Amino acid sequence: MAEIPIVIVIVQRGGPSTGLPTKVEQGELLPTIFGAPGDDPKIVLAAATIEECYQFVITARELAEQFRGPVILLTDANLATGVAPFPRPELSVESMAADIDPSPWPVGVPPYDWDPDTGLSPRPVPGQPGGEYVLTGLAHTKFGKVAYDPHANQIGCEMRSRKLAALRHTLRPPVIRGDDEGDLLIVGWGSTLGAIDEAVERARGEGHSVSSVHLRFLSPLEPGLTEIFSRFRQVLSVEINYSDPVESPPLIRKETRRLSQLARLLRTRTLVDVDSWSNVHGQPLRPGQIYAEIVKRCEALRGVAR
Amino acid sequence: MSHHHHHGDQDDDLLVEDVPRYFTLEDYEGGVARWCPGCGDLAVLTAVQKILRDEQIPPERTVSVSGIGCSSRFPHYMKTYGFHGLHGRALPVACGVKSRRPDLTVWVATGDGDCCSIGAGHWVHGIRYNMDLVIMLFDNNVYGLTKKQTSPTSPIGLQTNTHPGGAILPPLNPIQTTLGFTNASFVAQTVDWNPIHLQATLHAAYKHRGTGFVRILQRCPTYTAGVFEDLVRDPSRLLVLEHEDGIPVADSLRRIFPNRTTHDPSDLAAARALADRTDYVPIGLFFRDENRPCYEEFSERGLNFTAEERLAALEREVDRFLV
Repeated sequence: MAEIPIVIVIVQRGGPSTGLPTKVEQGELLPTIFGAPGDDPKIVLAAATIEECYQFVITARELAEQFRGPVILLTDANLATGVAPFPRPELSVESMAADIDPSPWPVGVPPYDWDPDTGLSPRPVPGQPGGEYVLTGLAHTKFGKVAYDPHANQIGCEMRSRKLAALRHTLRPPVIRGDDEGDLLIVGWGSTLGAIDEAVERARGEGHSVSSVHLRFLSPLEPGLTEIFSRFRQVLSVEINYSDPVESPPLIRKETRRLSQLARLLRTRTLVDVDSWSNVHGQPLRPGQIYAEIVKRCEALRGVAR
Repeated sequence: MSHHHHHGDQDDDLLVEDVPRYFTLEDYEGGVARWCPGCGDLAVLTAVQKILRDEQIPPERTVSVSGIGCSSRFPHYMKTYGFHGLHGRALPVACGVKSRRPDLTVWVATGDGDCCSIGAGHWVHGIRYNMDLVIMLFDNNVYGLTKKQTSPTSPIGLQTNTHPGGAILPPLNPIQTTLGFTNASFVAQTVDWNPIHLQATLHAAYKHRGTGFVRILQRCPTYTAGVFEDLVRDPSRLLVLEHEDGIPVADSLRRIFPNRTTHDPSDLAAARALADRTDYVPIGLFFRDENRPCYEEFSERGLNFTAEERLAALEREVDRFLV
């Protein structure tokens, strides 16, 4: 667990192999967050617009250095190949990585001087006299030494986990588009923002009780979701990755139906029975498709006594 | 949340900029090596520490990079910066370090599994990138860390856990292979049991501008105790390559090794022919070309930019997308 600052951009496409991978999918959410041997907490954020693809790289770089670990930025083929005008970004020296500081490393400070509350630690950089240590991909002590004893790995994992807790503490709940409460809440992430917004606006204009939130931080998840979800009768994730359709053959039952990736993630975090609507057509979701699903669900919810 | 230690707040009396520093072997020794008694890795470790001491390279400007395996424990026994990385990936890490930190001296410790098996793709391209670093291929003909499985360089007939009836394929020849990679610029072979030749070879690799690839025949007393025994006992089995542009051969070596031949390391065809020889095991410098392109020539660009210059470059990039 080398704990080195690194920004990884994953441009999600359909899969596997060739052909469909030239088209869009949001299929790497769970592999990105959880796909690792052993526990590997990392920061994962997703850009929803082309402008955010630009801004989030700067954010990701800052987070990677501050939290001394990998930050994965998820985008997808829609964002990567799309074109959209946005205001010229204001660049500043502050938004760039600081120059390397070659001053001596303080005597007696270990290379992983984990803060017990946040798991954060300053990082010795080659060139700093006195800071010499070995980065290892193995479990290690705060001195960077390979550790086999049970305690050392437990502590290392706890410290890395605390970094996510520390970041989560600084995040704000997502902004709700529409009313703060109602029948249906759509939850989305990534490039579907525009389509979801358009569909929700249209349904709301026709009097349906629907709102939406769009998540940028997937790991750690943005705070306040349980509370927000509690104010809606149904929470529905809308994504471009596989889920069993509601109308499936008899072997797929309500309790065994496989849900889309964000829905599964939200369930584990909130214990709310988040439902999902998704497909893997390899095409951008169209507002009309989402709108139709919203209307169907809102009408069904209206027909159900509260 | 704040970083609770700051780099810049040391007392003035700790500033040692003007005090000349002299480094002893101890300044490079990072703890007791936990290799088996008699392991050839120990000799390589000592040789590298002596070279650093002789060259007076500050420990903080030295980076030791490795993959996974017995020999990849190397960085842990150096009191320098180190990166004990992922199996087979020592070279991508080392090239990454060197690409943006050409001011650092980089030593790569890798084995016949790490380099020639799982990392073989990186081996090809690491050699082709020809960055200014040293690759030490610790070749003990076996997977030692995982307790004796056939490696790409295991000799035919070696009994291992994966081939109890004996290894069946002809062993890969790392020298012959590396000489075949495009842009190879320094290819040498040495043995762990002759510290003078070992250190002289690694030193030449260090001095070389570009990637110095050194295959070290390395004894593993635990799992391949016999494979180099004949060579150790009978120095006449080795063929020492001599040339004024090659690895210096001390008089003491001439007394030990009766079989020597003159080989001009600029002659690639002759080097390949030598690598093919089966009658003797050649040690020394097979090939060197100081004039091959190094990837740093590209990757270093912009490193000397000030923050303002970087900002201006970014603004120019943004300009290209104006509508």
